[in-house]
Amino acid sequence: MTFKDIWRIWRGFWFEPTSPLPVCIYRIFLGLLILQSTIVHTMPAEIFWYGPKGIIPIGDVMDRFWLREPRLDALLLFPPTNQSVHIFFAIFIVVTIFFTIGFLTRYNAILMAIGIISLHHHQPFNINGGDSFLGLASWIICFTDCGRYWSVDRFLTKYFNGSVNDAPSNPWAQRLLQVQFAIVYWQTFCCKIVGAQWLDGTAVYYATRLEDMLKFNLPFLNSLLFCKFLTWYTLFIEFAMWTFVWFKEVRYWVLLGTLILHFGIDLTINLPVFEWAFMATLILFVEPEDIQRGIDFARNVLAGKYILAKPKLLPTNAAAEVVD
Amino acid sequence: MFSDILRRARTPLAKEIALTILICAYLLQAIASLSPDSELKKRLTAPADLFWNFWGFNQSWTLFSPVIRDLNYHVAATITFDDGTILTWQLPRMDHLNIYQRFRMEKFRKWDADSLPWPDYKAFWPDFARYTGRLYCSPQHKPKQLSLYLFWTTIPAPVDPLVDRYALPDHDKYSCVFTYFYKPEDLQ
Repeated sequence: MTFKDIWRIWRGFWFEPTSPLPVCIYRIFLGLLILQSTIVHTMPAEIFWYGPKGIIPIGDVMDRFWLREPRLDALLLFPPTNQSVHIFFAIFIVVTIFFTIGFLTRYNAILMAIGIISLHHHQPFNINGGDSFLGLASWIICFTDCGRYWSVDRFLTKYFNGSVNDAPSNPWAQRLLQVQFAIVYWQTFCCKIVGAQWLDGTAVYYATRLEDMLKFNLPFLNSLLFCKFLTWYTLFIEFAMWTFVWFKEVRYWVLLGTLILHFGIDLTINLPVFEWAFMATLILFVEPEDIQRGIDFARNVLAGKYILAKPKLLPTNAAAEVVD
Repeated sequence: MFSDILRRARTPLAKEIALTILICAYLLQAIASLSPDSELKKRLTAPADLFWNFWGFNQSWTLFSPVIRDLNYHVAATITFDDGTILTWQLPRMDHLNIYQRFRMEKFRKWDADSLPWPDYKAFWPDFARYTGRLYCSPQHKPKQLSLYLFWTTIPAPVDPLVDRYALPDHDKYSCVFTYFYKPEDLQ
């Protein structure tokens, strides 16, 4: 191993051009989740949370939470009135919709990131881990080529220029999103592994008995044996998501295990945005070719082509072409 | 000479080196800030803390760890008015809502269960009292004091047969979190 080898591996991971398709799909998920957090969970109580006479006046947040240090908060640029909060929300929602559909994607990504971080800073006591992750992802996605596919930008470029750029792009920011995601699992695993409840297998029992987070009641959660299995399964998956996930041979198994974990938590524990934000981010680890294959398959199923493509319905030479 | 530097800076290698420095700085700050408290952590993160916090990169992923609480609780505020009447304000209690309401009111859960009754929120208790006072103030009834109560119970130990998730014990213990006495300017 030489320094040159290390640089080659580093370059291969961060800078080897690749298709931005996964991050383009992630853009849509991210936009929808931010819209959900804003429209479904925050409104119509935006004045309660962010109004000048809301539950915590911004002056007190600045004094006692920011500790008089500067923080990004675009709401401070508006006059301190309820109407300003409504206008801010209206702009933020429009920007997020534009980002989701991929219209002037880079500019709207930056505006959306400023908007979501401003809301988090203005009222830091109503955000869960899912919201925090959306905030981080909003910044990093600004540096990706996330408007390349499945976007209005692509449609407009094709319409006015007659062609679009399909060349692979520099994936460093897409990789940073992946690594940031792995860091989440690294910290949560390291914090859990020292906890007695996680080691003795009772953590899921306690987590599923927190009344403020109850969701659907699944009968198997009344079995201590199953609670222990789920506790250790969680630890294993959270370990795998920052270690084994980097190895292609087992990556999809790890992603499947993680998807099952978050889907299970979402069924039993009420943590809106959180689980969906993490499930959506898994798409970044799927190879672009496999996503394209999945999209083609879905298109064919929707178009009914698989019924037409049955070999026995095709002429002999056409069937031979399909086999080739 | 300046144009030569610019030309070199625009080569792919120069861009990759610049990005490498940026990526390493980001990862170093993220990993150091998430590590256990130590002198090394303090020294590593201090130079960039202001920048990091300003842009909202500060993060923590310790949900359900290392210890999951073994308490169930809810909070309620009592407001005593100047004529002696007492009003109880039951803040949104998730276990009394249906699944759709619980889904919509996640931000209230985060605030009134995870923040409001705990010492980390102490600096904002007067704000809560003032907001509630203004909410219930009228020319006939002026609030005199507010007390926030925490009602709680412990989750039974995990022994077979396990207690059903929807048949957990009532919150039969309580304690007063704080009491606030209103000043005239609080209610304006």
